[in-house]
Amino acid sequence: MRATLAVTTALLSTALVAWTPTAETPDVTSVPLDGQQTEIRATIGGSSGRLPRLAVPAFLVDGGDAELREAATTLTDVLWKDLEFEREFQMISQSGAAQIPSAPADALNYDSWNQIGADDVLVGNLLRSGGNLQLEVRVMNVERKVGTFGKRYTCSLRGIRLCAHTIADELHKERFGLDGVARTKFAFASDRDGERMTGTIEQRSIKEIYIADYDGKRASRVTVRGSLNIAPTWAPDGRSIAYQSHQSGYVDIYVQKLYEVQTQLGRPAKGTDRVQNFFPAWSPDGTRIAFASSLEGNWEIFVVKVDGTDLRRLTSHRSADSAPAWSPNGAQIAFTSDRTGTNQIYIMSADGGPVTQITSEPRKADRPTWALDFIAYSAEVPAGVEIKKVNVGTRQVTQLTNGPGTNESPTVAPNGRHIAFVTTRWGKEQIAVMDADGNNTRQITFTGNNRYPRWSNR
Amino acid sequence: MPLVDVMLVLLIIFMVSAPMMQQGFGVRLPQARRSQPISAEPVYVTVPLSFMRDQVVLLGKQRVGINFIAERVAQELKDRPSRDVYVGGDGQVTYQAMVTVMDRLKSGGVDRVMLALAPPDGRQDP
Repeated sequence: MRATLAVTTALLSTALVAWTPTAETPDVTSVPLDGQQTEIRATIGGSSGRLPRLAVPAFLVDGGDAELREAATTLTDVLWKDLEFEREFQMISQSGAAQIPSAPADALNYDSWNQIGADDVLVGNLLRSGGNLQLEVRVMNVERKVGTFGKRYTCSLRGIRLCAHTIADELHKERFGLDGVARTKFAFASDRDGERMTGTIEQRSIKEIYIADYDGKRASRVTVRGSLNIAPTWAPDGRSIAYQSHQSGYVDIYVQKLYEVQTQLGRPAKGTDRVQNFFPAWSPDGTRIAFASSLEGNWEIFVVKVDGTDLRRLTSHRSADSAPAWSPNGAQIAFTSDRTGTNQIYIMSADGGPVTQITSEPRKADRPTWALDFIAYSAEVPAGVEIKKVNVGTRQVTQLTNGPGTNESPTVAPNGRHIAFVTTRWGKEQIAVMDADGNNTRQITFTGNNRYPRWSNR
Repeated sequence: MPLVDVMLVLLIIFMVSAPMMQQGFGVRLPQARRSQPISAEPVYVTVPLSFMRDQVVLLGKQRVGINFIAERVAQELKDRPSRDVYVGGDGQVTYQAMVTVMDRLKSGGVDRVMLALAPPDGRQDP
């Protein structure tokens, strides 16, 4: 009995070490507050065509222990950055807003806010409620002195960043009908924890899969496999990822749940020492995974159900086909092929069939990712590698980056307004985010080398 | 207060004969949320005599407290190619008051301050 227990414990602990689920942050809940004049929302804001200017003064704290004050500071700071990210508001700087003392919504100094140029002021009031935090948020219009947005949020102290992200998304949605991305996440491969492979000839750097918030914060490690793990792809519900792992000595695709303990990971592509499987891409409807495989000797695109059944080959050409990417509606798949002699991007029906060449890069195109009506990809240019996008309908190509360093491996935000990519411009390989027109590039990872960013669908 | 000689190094001050009145026909342009501001239109800051009493200047025609002028000017200069600002002061305003205003403008990201002056004898520029 004791031996059985010990063995069970040992097995269990092995499983836990290998696939410890990521701690899931409790949901943030919100209820509307009374007295908001939502019907005038569409008519107010920036005059003469400019963006509405929004101030976010430091949140007020009831009670005011140090922990609560720190939470308020974090909330204000994160919310300001979230709201600035979508560029629907012109944000009054935090140092500017600090010139005016914070006050409750019914005691705002409208004259001062008018002088500093604010069209709207977002007022927050934070207090403890049981073990949680309760936050009242109101957006007050300076000209009309009325509230246009008001909600009470219940958040956990640990989930304070998620709380800010939720407010930003809900304000963007109510005010502009915009699906913000403040609650989306990245999956990516990183060597930030610095392990090195031992006992192998290759001595490659270990890469593990991580997830982080869209701003690069709250990064947590998903795999502890001590091998090369790259090219993650999200399940549409955001609760599982698939990735390419070299764990077993050959390359295969693994499916892992993020928030549940598993004793065994899914391996739908069923690789062997002769069959290698690369670049998984989860379908938008969540049922299938497309990937590149050497199953029949040559590199072709295959698709399989997530449970490993119904394997189908989609391409059949003696060249190497790789890097599949689904269209947003799941009806088509983009992929790379060197069938004309150089690597270019092609599209085909998600059932296979005839292919259409989309790019005609002088050198080569790689790593397509499909969002809205465009495919973003990496293109080799004389100076290195840059991000481009091609409109699928018109075939018009736009180059989005222009150095410094190499810029590759794009992934598009679910609302199509931002593109993340890998750049060497800051030394190591880091993930950067830019607007979909190539402007406003900012760094979001800072430690180790970080590659294969993949933006979550939600 | 800032040292005057430091200020002179930091600020390139131009004296211009600029009409401070913005004149024109009243045209109401169609609105679009994503349009760019008219970048050629200069930013005017006026320092009235009352500044000595209430620390309030005029940005265009709006009264703005001196504590807020840096943020306001930073907003106004956003997306403009030129980071120049025209400053006009009442002749009775002290040198110290003008330096205080220019100091705040500098922290708002202004590259050059143009000092607006009236031509002598009431003559008008063409």
